[in-house]
Amino acid sequence: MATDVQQEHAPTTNDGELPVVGVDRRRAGLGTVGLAGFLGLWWLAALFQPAYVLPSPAVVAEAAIAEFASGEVLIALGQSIQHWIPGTIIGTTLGVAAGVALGWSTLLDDISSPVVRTLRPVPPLALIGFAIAWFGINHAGAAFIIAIGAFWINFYASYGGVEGVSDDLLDVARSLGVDSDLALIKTVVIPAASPEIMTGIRTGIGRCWMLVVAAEIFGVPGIGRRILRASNNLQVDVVITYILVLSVMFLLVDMAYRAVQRRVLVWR
Amino acid sequence: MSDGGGSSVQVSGVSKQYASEQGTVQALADVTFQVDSGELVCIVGPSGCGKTTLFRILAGLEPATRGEVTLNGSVVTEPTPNMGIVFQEYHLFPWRTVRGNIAFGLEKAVGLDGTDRDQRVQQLVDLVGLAGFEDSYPKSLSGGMKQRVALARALAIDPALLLMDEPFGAVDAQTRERLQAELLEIWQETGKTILFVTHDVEEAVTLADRVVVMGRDPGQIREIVAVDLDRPRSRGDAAFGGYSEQIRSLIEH
Repeated sequence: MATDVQQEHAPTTNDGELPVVGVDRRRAGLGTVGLAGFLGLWWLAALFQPAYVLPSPAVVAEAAIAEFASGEVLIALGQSIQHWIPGTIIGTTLGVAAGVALGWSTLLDDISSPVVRTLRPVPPLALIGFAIAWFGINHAGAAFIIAIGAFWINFYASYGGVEGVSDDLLDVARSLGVDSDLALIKTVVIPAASPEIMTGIRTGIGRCWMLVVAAEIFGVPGIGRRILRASNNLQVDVVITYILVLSVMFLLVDMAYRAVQRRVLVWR
Repeated sequence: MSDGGGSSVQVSGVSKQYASEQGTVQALADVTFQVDSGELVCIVGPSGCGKTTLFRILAGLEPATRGEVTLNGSVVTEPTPNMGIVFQEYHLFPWRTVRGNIAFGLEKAVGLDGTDRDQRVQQLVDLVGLAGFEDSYPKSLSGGMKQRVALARALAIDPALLLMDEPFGAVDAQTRERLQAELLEIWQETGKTILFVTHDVEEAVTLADRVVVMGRDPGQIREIVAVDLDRPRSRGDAAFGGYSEQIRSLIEH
């Protein structure tokens, strides 16, 4: 699947590299072999285990069909998206803004450094108490947990990107009449750091899908909640179904993001 | 702001000291010279003579320890749009096309609407011979083309002075000669004052009205040589060779 998309997009990347069909076919072939091997091993292992330890791929497929047919998958997905989207957007925006500001201003960096270093190692899950107290057991509370995860990834990616902006480019911009910090940030710093910023956003988006499960641990409905409930009932086939749903969602969003990223960074 | 033509630069008693592990290093000692309006002056010297330091002080990128630089009577303390700067390593904005790079300094200029700006950019594209490459990104340009973009970008804001630091040092010999000829044409067409730093003696004799010859330990002016030759100058001329010899022996002693 991913290989198909690469073939489709490669000619538009504008860097003069034509896709080598032979190599792509080879990669697709090897990928299929790997996937088949993995499924075979899984199936083999499942033969000797009860279904509550490891269900076979066929059992999982049955469970998946049942979950889709009943509409449960779409309902859970719709619920998760209601905190995944705002959490990701808010965390990303604040993270990039803070990273750019502190990466640019030594003064702000020095002032906030002790606070940043104290808060940085706190895992989002440790903040569940605050999520409940401040927002309640609802989408806003779950979005808060997700936003924390997105924030730090984007903060450090943007901070590093801004620190790496060449002084020479800033000198050139100054000599061309750009005189305020804000104008320099807009015309030089953000475009120059955009590859790092965009990589941070991509990493953050993936991390936020993982955090969906954690964010629903305290009772907010969604895919994570389904996984936790099915785990408690030893319905491992259902657990795997929802894990696959998360994987596919991640893949789709990541592919869409990469298409945008390629377009924004054509100049590289 | 600018009279469209040139301007004059006055460098008065500029010294620069650095603190290093071996103690204080005297990079520049009492450098004094002036550049008249519309003049093309080259600064030439061996590596380590402080010419890059002098360039950075002239451009307002670094302060002098003593002395000052004035441009049309006002002291230079920071980069100013009165001065167009061209670096050896181009320093183009890689995320902007040729057109976007040249337009950079015009985007906040007052009194230029979109159409005027586009026209101005197109004129500059034609001036530096890059028609057809307007929408290319720097990554796909050769060194010579990049330097043409950098030159057009610096000229776009119509600076009083063009300050260039070994601008043709990173391109091959043939491209360098072509760029030198093009720079002379542009200089004659625009009447800009140009201050051009180089380590290449022949380049200095090809281009300059006057050559500021520097020596090292500490970086200081050995002599200022007026090159009294008609342009275009040919390296085969006996007089050309004479100037080159004179400058070379000044550097070596």
